[in-house]
Amino acid sequence: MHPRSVPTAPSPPNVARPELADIFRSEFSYIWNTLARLGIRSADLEDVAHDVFCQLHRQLSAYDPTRPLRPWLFGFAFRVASDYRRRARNRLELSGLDVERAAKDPAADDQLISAEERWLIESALRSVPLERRAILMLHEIDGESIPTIAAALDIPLNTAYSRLRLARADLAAAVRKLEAKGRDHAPR
Amino acid sequence: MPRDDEKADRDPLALLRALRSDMPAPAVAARNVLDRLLLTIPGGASESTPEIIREPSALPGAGSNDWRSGVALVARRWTWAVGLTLAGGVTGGALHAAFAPERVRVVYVERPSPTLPALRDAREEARTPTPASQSPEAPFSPMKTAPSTLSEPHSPSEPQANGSAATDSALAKERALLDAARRALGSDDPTACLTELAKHARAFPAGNLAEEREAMTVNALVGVGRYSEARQKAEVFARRYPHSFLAPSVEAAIAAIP
Repeated sequence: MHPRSVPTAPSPPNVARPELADIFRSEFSYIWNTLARLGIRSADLEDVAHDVFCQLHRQLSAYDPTRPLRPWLFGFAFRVASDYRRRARNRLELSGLDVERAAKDPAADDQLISAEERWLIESALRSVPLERRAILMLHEIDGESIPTIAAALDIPLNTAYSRLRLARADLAAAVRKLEAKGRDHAPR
Repeated sequence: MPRDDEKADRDPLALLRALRSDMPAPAVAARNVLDRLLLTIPGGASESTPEIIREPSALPGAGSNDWRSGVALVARRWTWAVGLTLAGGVTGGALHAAFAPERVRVVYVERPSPTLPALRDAREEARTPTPASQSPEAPFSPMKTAPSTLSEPHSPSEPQANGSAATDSALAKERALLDAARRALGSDDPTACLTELAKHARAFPAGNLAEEREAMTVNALVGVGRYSEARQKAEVFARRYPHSFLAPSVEAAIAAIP
């Protein structure tokens, strides 16, 4: 894999850079869920998560601790996931497996969102093209600003805004489609 | 799936924002990934042997992780072999086991070279030199210098003493027992896992991999529904290994108790 260069800046000496062990401890679940939403098949998640942490290990010295960690981590997850998808054998997502994973997730019991709604939105999200999906995830789920996202993904600011707009439209269309499909198959 | 029209006006973005990114990942998955990282990164953490740079697992088109780890180990051992050869002043032909001089052969016994037998069980052998990462005194910290017990064998000019062979052998036995336990846990058979862990506890009550054993025990106890014991074990684990790299696995197991 050939990761793009991560934007770096000299960090103040008094700001501690996290160690890989700390990142693993606090962010493994974030990486895991991010990779799943980026279309990594359940059966491959461990392999790909391992690859992400290997990449992190190599690039950790380039991390500027004054900047938010998660967008930086997302950049790795996104690039590794992109490479994964470029492999011919992985081009097709087995959404059925992922849907099952989402439906069985214990967090689905959380009252913020029902299991059915989780299934709906996770499925719709997977239908959004990957580059747009990344913006959507970072902005809507992680709550990152567009400038931060643009820096993390190493893309122009206007491109990030444009992708977000398109991604929102994609998502809304996918939700409508899934809802209509559900109504068509509902018991009469 | 929605079944009625009244849900058709749900705001997709509101649903999306309701997703939390930090849902706990499966504890078994975290442990497996950690295990692989311990396999690949400790050598890479050493400034003198940054093998992780050459670790092929991140290369596009790479196959399964076991295969990739095996190749990484082979590359690592070739590095040692070449270093030892140069340091000892022997020729390149000495790399062949049959013609290796005494000194090289001793090293091969300690850390097998990438011959076919080594390839067959590369992952198993690779786990042997990772005890320092399991020690509470030396929690996994790949960004610091490599643990001394790991870095010493990397030095091409310092063949290991015979005493470490026994240590490696014991570690290999420990690892084999825990591997059996892990396989059982991964096969959704926590009872068998506990049986294997009990074997390890009897054979190596204060073994180098006791930390890993205790973490797995918590997971297995949750798996068989012995929640009270699991919680007690988890508390003991947290006290005994406050900085353990396996703590997320233990915490996730406890969190999964209904």
